[in-house]
Amino acid sequence: MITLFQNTSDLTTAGLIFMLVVWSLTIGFTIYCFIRILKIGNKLPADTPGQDE
Amino acid sequence: MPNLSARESWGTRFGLIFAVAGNAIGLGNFLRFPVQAAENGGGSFMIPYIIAFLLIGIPLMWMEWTIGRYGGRYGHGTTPGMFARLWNHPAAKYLGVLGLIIPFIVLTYYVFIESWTFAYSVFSLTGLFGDYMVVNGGSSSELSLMKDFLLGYTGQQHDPFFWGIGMAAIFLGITLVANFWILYKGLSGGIEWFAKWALPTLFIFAIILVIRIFTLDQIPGSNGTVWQGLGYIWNPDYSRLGDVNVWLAAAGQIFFTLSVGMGTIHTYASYLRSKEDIALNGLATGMTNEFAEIVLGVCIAIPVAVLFFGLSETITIAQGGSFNLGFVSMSVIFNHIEFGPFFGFIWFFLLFFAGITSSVAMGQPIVTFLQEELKWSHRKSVTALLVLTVGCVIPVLLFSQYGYLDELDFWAGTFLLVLFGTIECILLAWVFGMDKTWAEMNLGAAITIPRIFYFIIKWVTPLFLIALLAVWFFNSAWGILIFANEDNPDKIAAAIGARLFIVVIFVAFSFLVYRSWKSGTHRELK
Repeated sequence: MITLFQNTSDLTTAGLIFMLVVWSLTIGFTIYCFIRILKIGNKLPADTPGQDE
Repeated sequence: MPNLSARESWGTRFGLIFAVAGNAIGLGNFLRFPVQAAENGGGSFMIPYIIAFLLIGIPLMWMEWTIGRYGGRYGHGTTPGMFARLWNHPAAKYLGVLGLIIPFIVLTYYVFIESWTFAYSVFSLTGLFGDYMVVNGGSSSELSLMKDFLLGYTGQQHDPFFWGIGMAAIFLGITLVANFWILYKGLSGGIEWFAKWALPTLFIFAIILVIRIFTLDQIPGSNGTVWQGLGYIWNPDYSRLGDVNVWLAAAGQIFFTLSVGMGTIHTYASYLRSKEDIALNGLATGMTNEFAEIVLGVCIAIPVAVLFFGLSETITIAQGGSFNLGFVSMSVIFNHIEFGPFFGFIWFFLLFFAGITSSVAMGQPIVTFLQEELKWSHRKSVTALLVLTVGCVIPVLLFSQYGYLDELDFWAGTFLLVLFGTIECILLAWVFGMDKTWAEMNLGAAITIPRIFYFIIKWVTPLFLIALLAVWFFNSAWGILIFANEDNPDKIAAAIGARLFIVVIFVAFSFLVYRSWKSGTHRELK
């Protein structure tokens, strides 16, 4: 039997909740950031730093 | 006045974020993090780690993007010029020298370790680990054999299977060529181009490995499971929350993993236009790094090691260091699973990609400094860095067995990161001024930075960093300085050599900064 289905209780309920909360926040914020970037537009202006002063 | 069009610029936002995230995602995410977690009590480590990420990591990330973009507006791509803009005092530019020497010194040993990952990916595909076990097998355990393999390959002990350090030198040479070819191709054509396909490949490799590890069968003779590994890291454990060393380790890991306190983010951010967003870009790179570390990195080395060796043996392996877990135990594991050579290749090549996107970032500040402050051509700057790196990596290659690499890693890769982070934090929040910093940070911001970070950046982050330095100073500084725990004269000599090297590099770059300001090659955009 594959390890995925064995002794799942080694990760306690509190541990599972802690892990899922941290993972959800990490993945959620990462996706949020990339969606916002897509909305702004991926392409950066071609001019060089300092020229827009 | 300098030619404005001479400064390079990023082509796309994703390219920029992948490059900065690639700088952050390195060997620390997949090797150092699991070891730090295992050494510091697993569940006890994660709570300080997350707090350190919020109170040190994210604020420093935003601060460094701010300093970088602000400096870039005045034509400065490195911290000597940037710090001189933040603090109008002759000493400021010399404090900024730390932002040149830290990435350079780390580069000199990081690229060596990076070359091991490339070599191991080739060894996996060619089945060299199996050959080694056949030739040297006997009563030794496989872990012990693979440890000998690593020591023999890196020249730390004599092994007739390898040609001294010849094989390691060849892979180091190939790794150096790859790094400097990317640097030579420039910011957009080299670093950004490489990051745009290296980082997605790295994530795909990591996901493939996680799926493979979680679908492995139970190993005969071992009672470990992947859940036991995850449980060790995630099951909350409050017993060691009062241990200051756990907090120090968590904060140290945040510095290492996000590549803050190094000078590399400043340089990358300096190539942004002055009203380009840094709030969202900074958060995106930080979160991408954390995704690699606490979602993917946490699901590979520790769970599979627990599955094979059991929990207590895994903790012992991890306490032997990152190389013990990442190179020694993983080589044994991949030697036993179906299609092991393929998955071994994926693991070590993933590490190689993670390493190379970080090492090119460490080289870029020096290239930018030589170009902008000394007015050297790009080609001359890259060539000079290559020559300097080759010269400085030779002692790493020759004296690693005496602890030369460890000494460099302690000072440049650990202590100086925290010191530099503290200096830049105070300069920005207290010398430049928090109101100006906040305005600069929010200029062109695509997201609203929560107001609480005004307070965190001004008070919490600097106090946290000062407390870290103070605790380290009172707990360990003197013993480390006088080699209280070392009685091997060869190791003491190598450590002194490493310290002298750091001092010489600091003096040399300080002289270059002095010359640049004195001779007028240092110019500011108005």
